[in-house]
Amino acid sequence: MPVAKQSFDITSSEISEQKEEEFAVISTELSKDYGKKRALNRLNLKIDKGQILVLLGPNGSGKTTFLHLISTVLKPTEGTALVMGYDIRREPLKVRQVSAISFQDPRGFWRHKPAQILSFHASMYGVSGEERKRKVEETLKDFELWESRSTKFMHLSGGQSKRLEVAKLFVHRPKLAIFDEPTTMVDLDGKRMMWDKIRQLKEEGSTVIVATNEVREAEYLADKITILANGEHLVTDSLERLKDSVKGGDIVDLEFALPIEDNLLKLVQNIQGTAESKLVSESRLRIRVNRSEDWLPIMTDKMHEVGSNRITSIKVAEPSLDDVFLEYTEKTA
Amino acid sequence: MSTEQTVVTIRERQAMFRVLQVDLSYFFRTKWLIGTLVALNISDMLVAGLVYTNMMSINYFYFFVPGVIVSGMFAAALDVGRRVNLGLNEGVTQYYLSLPVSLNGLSFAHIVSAGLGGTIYGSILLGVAVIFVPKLASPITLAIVPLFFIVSMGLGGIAAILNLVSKGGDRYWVFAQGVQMILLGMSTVFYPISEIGAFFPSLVTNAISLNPLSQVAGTLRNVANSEPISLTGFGLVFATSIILFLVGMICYRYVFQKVWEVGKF
Repeated sequence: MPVAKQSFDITSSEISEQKEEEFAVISTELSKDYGKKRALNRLNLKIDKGQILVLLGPNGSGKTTFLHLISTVLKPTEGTALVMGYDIRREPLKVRQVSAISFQDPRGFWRHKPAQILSFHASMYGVSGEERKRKVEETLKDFELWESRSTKFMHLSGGQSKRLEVAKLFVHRPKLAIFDEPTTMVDLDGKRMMWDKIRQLKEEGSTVIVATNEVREAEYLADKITILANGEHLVTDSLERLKDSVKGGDIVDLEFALPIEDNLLKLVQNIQGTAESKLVSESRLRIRVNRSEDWLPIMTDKMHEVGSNRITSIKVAEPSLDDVFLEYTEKTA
Repeated sequence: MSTEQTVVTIRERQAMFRVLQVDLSYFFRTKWLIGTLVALNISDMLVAGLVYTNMMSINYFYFFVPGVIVSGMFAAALDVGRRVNLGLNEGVTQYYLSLPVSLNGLSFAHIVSAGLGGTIYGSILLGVAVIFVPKLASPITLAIVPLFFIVSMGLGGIAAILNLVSKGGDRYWVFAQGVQMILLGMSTVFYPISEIGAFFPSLVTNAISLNPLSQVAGTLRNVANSEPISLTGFGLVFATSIILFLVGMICYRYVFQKVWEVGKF
């Protein structure tokens, strides 16, 4: 995994200059075994305060295990993590006071109603009296649960119970908000609304961690993305830099005025950063390059020097997060 | 103690109280289930009454009413354990582990809510019984209410033991029925000690009379018959319940610790 290692090193060198207090989470060699199976392997990760970190990874990559460990729902087998400065092994109670998790499968009291569930959750974090009542009402309305406020949890639809699970974190706004696949089972309108609410949470000062399989969700929310696979940490970086890290990820389509000759094709292939080139038609060339922003100026200079065939159109496409995800996870497969 | 520590302690107490409230609110939501359990016990008692006296009499009624109260208290106290068991299976325990309450606090809250559940149900039945057995309308009866709480806490401890041995599956219900059969069957809740003595050796008869449930039922009957109540009996009930409470705390602590360590029980 040379690419993954290189990219992680860039991040670590940047963060090494930051102080410990600037991180919401610092995990050190964090590992978890289920029987003989290692679900998370020596995870070293630092998450900046006040940002949204999205955890991406295929099923069984260790995303949920990591979230359960830092929210003290699970005890690590080895290693530890500091959450807002508190050790998850030695100070779980303090960790619980500054963080909260929205589970992948909604967890509620079957015979209670949404308003009661939110009220209980808020009260556990010291929100009391009129303020609690107001926040519960406001959150139920924001998450479009007001109409079902008197329906028992066991009678809510999948989407409603998922909304309720996510809504819990909005009645007390923890310093560290953890969401495990927050919008599964939720319709498109609901997804947009929930993504906006999660971003709002960050704007109000919370650090947010979101685990997801949905690339669109990650693109919408992430300040930084961490990719996990098979319990291993592959990379953490911004979306832009992750896209740039995909070798041959940018696609450049060049249209020429005249048919492309062999010498022109060779010239393009020899430009630094060209990963692959292919004739699409006699006058159209598709080239995969590492970074189109570096490659294009060099290419136009060379074309100017040759001057035999005029470029009539240039189209550039960046790699999608799907490409990034596959690039990193396929290396470990 | 620093201000931060004090805040943590107060918050944790509040959190324990909230967990206790949730347990109790479930208690009121499953009142029909408890009613059914009590109805089953009552039908058992009626059959027993008809068999050994050949017919219902006012004397048997005076014997029968305290039995109903004790069996109701028993069912209510053990029902909290059933809900903890459901919570283990449905992931509610994991939710609790993410909340600002310690494992000890969680264990304590579950056992105390069993105590309160038994007390509330027993007291309601006692209130109804006063209508039919006027002698129960005595100041001494009020002293029996704390006795309900102490015994129910002990029963909460038994519920914790059942949760430990039933391993979070559906076995809790079966084990609880077994315990009910043994503890209520081997007590004077259903049968007078004189009848029991006729069938069992003295060692077993003595053990049955020492059963805390026999003591509670006996105390209620003493009040109903204007007889003096036994302080020794109170002491015995208290000691047994404290032991069961402590064992229950250890069992719940172990169960929750296990959920924390391996993700399930």
